[in-house]
Formats: sequence, C-alpha cells, structure tokens
Amino acid sequence: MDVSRFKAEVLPLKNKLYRFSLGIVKDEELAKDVVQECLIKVWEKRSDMDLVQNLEAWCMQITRNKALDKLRSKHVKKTDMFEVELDTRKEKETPYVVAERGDLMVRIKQLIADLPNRQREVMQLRDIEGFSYKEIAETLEIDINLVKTNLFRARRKLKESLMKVDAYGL
Amino acid sequence: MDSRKSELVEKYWATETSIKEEQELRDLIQNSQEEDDEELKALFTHFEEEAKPTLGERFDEEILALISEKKETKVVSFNEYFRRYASIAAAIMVMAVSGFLFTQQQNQYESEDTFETPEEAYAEFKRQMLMVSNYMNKGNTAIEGFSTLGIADKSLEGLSVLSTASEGLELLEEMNLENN
Repeated sequence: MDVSRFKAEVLPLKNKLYRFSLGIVKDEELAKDVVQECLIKVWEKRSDMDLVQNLEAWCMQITRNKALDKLRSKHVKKTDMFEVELDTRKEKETPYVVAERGDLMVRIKQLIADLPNRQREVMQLRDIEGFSYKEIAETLEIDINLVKTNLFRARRKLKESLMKVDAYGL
Repeated sequence: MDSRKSELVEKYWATETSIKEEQELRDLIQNSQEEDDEELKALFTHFEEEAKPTLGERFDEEILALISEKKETKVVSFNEYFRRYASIAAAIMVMAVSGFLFTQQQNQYESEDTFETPEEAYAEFKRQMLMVSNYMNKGNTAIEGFSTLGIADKSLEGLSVLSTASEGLELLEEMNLENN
C-alpha cells in the first residue's frame, strides 16, 4: 500500500473511527489521539493489508483496542461519568430553564450512557454509523446473534425507560 | 399515527428493521407532528447529533506528515533488514569465533625442537621417565597403608545388626502412640 491508496481507502474512515473512539473514551482530544495512533498502526502494518478481508472492520477493531487501552491507563471514564451526572442533576434541578425537548435529549444521553458497554457499542455502530449486523459482528469480533441480542436489549431498555417516564407524565 | 409508521416503530423496537427501513422510519418520525412520536424524534435526533463529530482537514495533514516521517526514518525496513540478515550475521560470527579458537588451539600445542639430535632427545626422555616412575613408586608405598582400612570395614559389618534392632524399636514407638 502506498500513500495514495492510504489516502483513498483509510483516511476517509477517520470520522467513523473518531466517533467510535469518542463513544468509548468520551474525550475529544483523547479520541483524536486514538484515531491518530490507529492510522499510524495501519500504515506500519500496510504489508499485512492484503490479508485483511474487511479494511473498515479491521480499522475499527484497532481503534476499539486502542481506545480501551487509553481508558484503562487514564481512568478517563470515571471522571467523565461524574461530570455527566453533575450536568444532568443541575438541569433536572432547574426544569424551567431547560426546554422540555432539551431535557428529553439529556435523558436519552444518560440512558444510553448507562447501557452496558457491549449494548452501547452495538447501538452506536447500528444507529449512529448505520452498520449492518455482519459489519458489527466483524468489528466487535462477536457472533452475529450476539449483535442482535445486544441491540435488542439496548433498544428495549430505551423503549421501556422512555415510555415509562412518559406514562407517569414526567 | 399511520399504519406504515406504527408498523415500522413496532419492528424497530423488536430489532427487526433493515437499515433501509430504519432510514424510512427516521424520515417519517422527523416529519411527524404527533406528540406520541416525541421520544423517538428525540432519540433519532440524538443519533444524528452523535453522527456529526468529525476530524478536520488538518488531521489529514498531520497524519500524512507523520506517515512520511516514518517512511524516511525507515523504522519498518530496519526490522525487516534485521530479521533477514540476523541469521547470516550470526552464522558468520560463529564461523569467525570457532576459526579463531581453532587456530589458537593449534598454536598452543606447537612445540619447538629443543635438541639437536634424536639420541640426545631420547636420553633426556629416558631421564624424565625414570624420574616419573621414581615418584610413582614413592606414592604407591604411601597408599599401601590404606589397605588396613579393609579390616576395619569387616568389623563394622557387625553394626548392621543395630538397624534390625531400630526397626523393633519403631514398632514399640507406634504401639506407644496407639496407647496414647
């Protein structure tokens, strides 16, 4: 692989990789670093590229591993979760300031953030990136049925939470 | 809520929609004015918002700069070279070291002629051998004293009876333990 092929095939994936890593590390700078490291790794391993069947899934896998490494080494998640929690509480305390729609968005964000990692990842790849089940299975290196199960659970949880809140008229 | 929309909503929650149907549902929901669709509308808006973050053009430049840097320093090719030539280098090293040791060994045992004629050399050799045999004989007489140890060995054999006695004592000890 030469630079022009890298530009044409790998670089266009950067935004997907960025969003995927952002979903894991939840920090823009860190997510950017992850993508950078990932792309450099892809470049260094370009001699193995012909063996790779699905370039996109391969890049996503590398991104995921690098993002999880970052998360483990810097414990970013904890502090970020804490911040998010503070934010929502603040907005809940002042309901008149926050528009009703905005409040709903915050709730959705929190619901998704509270999902188990696997379910959140699957939901992100499906509902945000528009991946097929097969692509998700390749990216996360899991069985396709597990992808469906996780997505089903994630959506069911969102449905139940959103509709329940609505039923109480909150 | 029209039937197509409600059908798609049901399918969506049941995870039975295709990507195409999900897009259709999104369009239907975003255009809907019904209050019932508020949650789904917010959810889909959230998904669209989440799909927005991008890396700017500068990121490309940074990456391409990093890549060309890598190319110049040839970190990868160094590894390849090392892997390719390490075995050859090791083989050459082994050959060189063993060759060096071999020649050293050869030099070590190379002796010079110290006598002019074979007769002289023979006489000197005879003298040396006599001296050696003389020393050997001296040593032999000293060692003869050790043969007396054989006698002591025989009398020691009697002591082996003691081991039988110790076995008997062990039995007694066990009985003692049982009694306790």
